[in-house]
Amino acid sequence: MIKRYATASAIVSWLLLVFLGMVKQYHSTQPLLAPSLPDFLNGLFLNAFLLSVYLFAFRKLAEMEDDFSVLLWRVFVLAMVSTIVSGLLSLYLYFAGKDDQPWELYLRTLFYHIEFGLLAVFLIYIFTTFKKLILFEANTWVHHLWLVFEVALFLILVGHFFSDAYYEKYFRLPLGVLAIVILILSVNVRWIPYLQFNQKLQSVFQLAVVLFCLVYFTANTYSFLAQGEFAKYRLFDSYYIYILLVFSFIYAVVSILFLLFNLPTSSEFERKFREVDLFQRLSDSILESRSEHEVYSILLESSFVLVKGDAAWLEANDGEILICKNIEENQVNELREALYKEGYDNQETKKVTFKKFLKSRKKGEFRSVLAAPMITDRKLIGHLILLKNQQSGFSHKAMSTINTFMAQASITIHNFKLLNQLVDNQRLQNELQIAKGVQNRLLPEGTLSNGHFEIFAKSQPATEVGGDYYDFFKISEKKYAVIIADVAGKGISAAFNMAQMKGIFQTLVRMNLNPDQFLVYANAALSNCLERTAFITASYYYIDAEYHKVYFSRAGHCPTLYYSKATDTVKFFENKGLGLGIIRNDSYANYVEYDIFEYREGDIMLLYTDGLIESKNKVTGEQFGFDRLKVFLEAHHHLPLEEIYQTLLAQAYQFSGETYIDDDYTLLLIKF
Amino acid sequence: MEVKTFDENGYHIIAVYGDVDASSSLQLDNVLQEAVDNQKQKILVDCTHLEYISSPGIGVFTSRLEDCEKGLIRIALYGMNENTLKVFKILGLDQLELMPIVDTKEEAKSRINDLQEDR
Repeated sequence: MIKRYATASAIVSWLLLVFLGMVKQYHSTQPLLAPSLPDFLNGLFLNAFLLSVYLFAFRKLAEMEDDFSVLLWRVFVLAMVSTIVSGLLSLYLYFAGKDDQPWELYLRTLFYHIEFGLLAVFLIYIFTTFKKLILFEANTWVHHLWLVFEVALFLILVGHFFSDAYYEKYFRLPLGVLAIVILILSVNVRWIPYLQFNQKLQSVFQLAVVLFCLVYFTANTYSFLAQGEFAKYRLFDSYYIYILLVFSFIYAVVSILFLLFNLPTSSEFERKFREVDLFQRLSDSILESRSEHEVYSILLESSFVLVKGDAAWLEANDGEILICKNIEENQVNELREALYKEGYDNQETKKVTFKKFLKSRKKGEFRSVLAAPMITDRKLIGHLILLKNQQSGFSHKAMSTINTFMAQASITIHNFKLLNQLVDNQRLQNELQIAKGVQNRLLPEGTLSNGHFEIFAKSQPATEVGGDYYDFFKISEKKYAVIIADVAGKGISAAFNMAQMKGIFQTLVRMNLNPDQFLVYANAALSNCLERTAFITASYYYIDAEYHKVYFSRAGHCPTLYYSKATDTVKFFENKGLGLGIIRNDSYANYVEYDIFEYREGDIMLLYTDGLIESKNKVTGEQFGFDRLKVFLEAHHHLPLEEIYQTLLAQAYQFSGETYIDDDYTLLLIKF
Repeated sequence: MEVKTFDENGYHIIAVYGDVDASSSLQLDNVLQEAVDNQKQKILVDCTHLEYISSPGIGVFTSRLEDCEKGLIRIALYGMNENTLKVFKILGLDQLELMPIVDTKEEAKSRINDLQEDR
């Protein structure tokens, strides 16, 4: 929007200037007839024009990126266009302007204004472009100096309002001082290093053309001013234009010089940029979750490019060759031997350069080598060996570059390994979660009521999966079996054995065995498959709801707690028994027995695993123990089963002072 | 857990200190295996300073019952505190003739010798 206003205002003010020129021209030929216009209109229209152009150029450049070759290209195009237009006008005047027609002078006046407009636009555009270049990455001091420069230019504009005499007297700024300011500003050429080699060449050419145009315009202007045939007023001969000319000239020359001086170093800069790019690529390669081998391959290729090697190989710490480039494996062994003979210390030194390590004069033999250990997490994981045909092929600079690169690569590979570990861990975690789901399906959870008794059961493993097991089974209309078991240990192995136990229970329960027989069979089945130090404790209950009788056996499991409503007492069933898998032969039968009791309505059985009993007080180390459990049931037998469970758990947590119990625990409550 | 082993008049004594949890039970198993490998026939396990033993820890002893039965070794445990003894009893291990659990070292020695005479 502002750009559009600025353009309109520039055109209007320029037309007004033309009009003013015409009037003056008319006035000079017909002094009596023409009206005399006040002097300050000169300054008004001129300043309006200059400021409009400036505003336009300023806005235009503010929109543009800091792409210096594009900026210079635009200046170059503008210089060419304005110079060509100006040249064509001059040619026309030279060939066609010989006739002494009365309108001839008016045509010259028009051309004079066109020339001025072209020069002003050209200069102001250069000025704003150079401003952008000078202030690029400049410090505040330069910014201040630039401000001073612009204020000085503005003051000159103010002078345009005054008559020539005043202008000459008061607005003749100390040009020497301004020249110094311009020189100081001109050394700000920080944009140059960002150009590539060919861009720099291009810039030199463009600036040279701009310089030529400046010279042409200056000469042209003077030739115009020298022609005294038409009325003139202050346009070209403004200090403003002078200073812009001088400034543009100086900065263009300085830039060309700096560009030329910088040409040899550009390749170095470009190399650095490429290094950075390679670093970046190496880091990126892990994000794309490529294989470790690919990371190695990128490392080798990148190093190879960086030092312009002739061959290279990468080997693991154990001597296994990971990648070879332009070299055979048998050659590698030979070279490696020579390398160690020369004293390559893979343990400590980061890098050793060898010169002429092979005396051979044969063509194509490698004469210099650069070996770098790859160390991640303080562990040596491998070596990178780069080879060159010529002697002393590796400079110190190449060495330090490779050093940095190896450091980066080491981090990358370390990260890559961590990432892989993370993925593996995640996979295991996922599988554990699946196992947890599978195990949950092995345990019938919650409350069950069948008209004869009510069951509530819940199990909580210490980790994802555990070794606690319970189950119930309806053998016939009024006969039920209930089991609770605890595999020694916890975690995955316990979980497998727990699943095994489920299989055994589900098989044997259908055989309608006595509880002690059940245990003998279970022991026989487990003897073959439990690992040496493993065993399982279990309690098996056979409930006959018809006669209100319970037959039960205990295989080393925590004694069941029983609340009898009739006597209002709580006691443990401590009958004889031995854990499953402890004795792995037929003599096991000698160690188990079965008992019978008659139940009454309202009686409660509490089956549990040792995780609860053995939960320890955080401070004293004391165990929850059997007595506390007994006291608990004495106090809480009146509660609904689930509430008994919740209350007991709360009490256990309160006792231990922890937020978790470090073992699998299970509770199974039966209320008759 | 800490384990000290020493030989005393033909008996190999394994003294267990502190808590035997799942991970230290492996260490205890190695100690027992070593004793078996070194053909220490009479092994006395001193449980006087045993504070707590987990199920896998108990498994270390029960897994040697087979060796006892074959007559390769004899093991007796003694000096257990009340809690530990209760754990062993609940498991039914106090019934096992092959691996006596007694109060004192002297008792343990005599029980082991009785076992020897049985054979």
